[in-house]
Amino acid sequence: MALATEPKASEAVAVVSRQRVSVFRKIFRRPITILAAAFILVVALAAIFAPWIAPYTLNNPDLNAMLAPPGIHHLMGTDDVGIDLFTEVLYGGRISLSVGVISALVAVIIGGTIGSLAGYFGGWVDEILMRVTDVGLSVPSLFIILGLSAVLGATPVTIVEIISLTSWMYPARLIRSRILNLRNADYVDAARMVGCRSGRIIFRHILPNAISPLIVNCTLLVGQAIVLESVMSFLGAGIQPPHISWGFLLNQAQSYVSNAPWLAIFPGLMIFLVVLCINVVGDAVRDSLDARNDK
Amino acid sequence: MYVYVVRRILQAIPVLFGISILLFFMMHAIPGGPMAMYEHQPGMTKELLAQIKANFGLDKPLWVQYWNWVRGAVQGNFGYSYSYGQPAIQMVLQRLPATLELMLSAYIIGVLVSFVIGVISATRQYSVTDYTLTILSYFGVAMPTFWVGLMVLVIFAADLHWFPAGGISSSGTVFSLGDRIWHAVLPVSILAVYQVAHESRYVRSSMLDALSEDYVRTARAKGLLRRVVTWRHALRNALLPVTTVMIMDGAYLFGGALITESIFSWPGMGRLFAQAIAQDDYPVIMCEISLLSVIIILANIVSDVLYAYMDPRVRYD
Repeated sequence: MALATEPKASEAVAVVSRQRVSVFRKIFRRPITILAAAFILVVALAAIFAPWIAPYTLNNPDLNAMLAPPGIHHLMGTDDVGIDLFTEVLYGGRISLSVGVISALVAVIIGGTIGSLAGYFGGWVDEILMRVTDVGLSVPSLFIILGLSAVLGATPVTIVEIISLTSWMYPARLIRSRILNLRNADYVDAARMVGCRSGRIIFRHILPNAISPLIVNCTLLVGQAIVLESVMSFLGAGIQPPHISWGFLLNQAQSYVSNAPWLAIFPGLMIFLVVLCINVVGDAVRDSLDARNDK
Repeated sequence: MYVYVVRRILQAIPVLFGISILLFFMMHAIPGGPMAMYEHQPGMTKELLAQIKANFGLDKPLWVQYWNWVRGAVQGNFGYSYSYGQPAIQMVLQRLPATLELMLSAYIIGVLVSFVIGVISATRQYSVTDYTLTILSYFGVAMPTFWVGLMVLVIFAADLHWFPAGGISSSGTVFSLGDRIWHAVLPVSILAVYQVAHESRYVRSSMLDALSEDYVRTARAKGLLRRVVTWRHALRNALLPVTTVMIMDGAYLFGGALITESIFSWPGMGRLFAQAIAQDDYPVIMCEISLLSVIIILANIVSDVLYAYMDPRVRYD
């Protein structure tokens, strides 16, 4: 059995690498996806290089231009103490994006591990881990998130912890059901027969074949996490100064919303556009990995 | 069927147990722990504090404390609000009708519009209408509720003065339905739009599946009106997978209500929660989370049971 599959295995590698190229091409088949990916890239680079790009600094308010509307000097206007909003949006993007990406990665790692263990070992391990997942799915997540931030305090690190601890359940279920399908595949039996340990089988043999839905989910989770962080900060339970994020800027904008609407428009627009683009790219990835679409 | 309902309720017990443990440890993670509310009170001495601690059994082992907390929670005893001194459960329940008014109106409108949009999209797949609705739903999903709420408030309340800037009714007037509706338009439509953006996609894909079934072709071949086939034959079958999603969405609508209520100063549970967060009013926070967890679990059971009831093919052994 193991011998018979060996020549096929090398063929499979060639097929996989060819597939990778075509998957990449398939993802970016539609111009809208390229546009969305390019926008995310630009925003990410702008956030990373904020100190070099920003026209002003965060601690040097322009006292002659408080609540100035968008114009040549201040691209997005200024806030109530005269700090350039464009500068704030650039710096805010650093927290918003990094909290989003890191939370999603942590959530997928937690969910992936729990789901793999549950799916691979089955029995009481599965039973316990899935009940824990049920608990996670049965709590009102936004309320728990805000409650935890009140209890634990809100720093960028605790915010990442809180968001990832409340978003791992879906990836866990996803990977578990994939692994249940693959657990008894011939090549897994073969690996077991040649004496691979469980850890190696899970991580080297099963996961690479089960990972594509997880990648899609991770992409979408990034968007979700960005929104969650901004909701937390908007309601005053998230990022605290000296850190700023887009949600925090919206929180600050609330008091000036009728006489300085730009303070609310631009940070919100950034959240909206970034999440929109992430969803577009995520869906494109899903469609290209979905075998049913090959027909 | 009854056996299934009972089994489904029994299955909820370990989940409830898990949630109670989670909440109990959250209580103990509160700065100052469960005793924090007494430390706040004026004229509190160390001796008195120790006395109260003993009275409440907080010197007992953790599992005894846990048991006492669960017993209190089951009886609706979640302690007293730090800020107002009222029982937490009473404060939350007082706010429940306002939240239900907001949520139910949004929910009913949302579900109806989702069906109409989803069915139209599905019957005209890949048409201009379908693409437009798809793009709109993309926008709706990605738009943060609180930002849209803020923008709508600025445009329609602050600038145009078409609608009031918040609240559930004009103060100092007697109850009038028109006034209530006038106040509800903005928050309800925001909640409903968000729901439509999500659910119309489910209806669309579920309808697409149903429309490609043999019985739809048979019905058309019989010469039935297209409209009749769509709305009576296909939709009834497409309802099945959508129902589950919609019931759970109803439970999760509390999250959207939390945001909408705090923007529109709607005197409901969500706003109470946001205030409690701002004031570190832990008893109210814990009470509300516990209550909503139970609601979500119930919604879960109802949606599973309803699914089994609606689809005779589904047999649970």
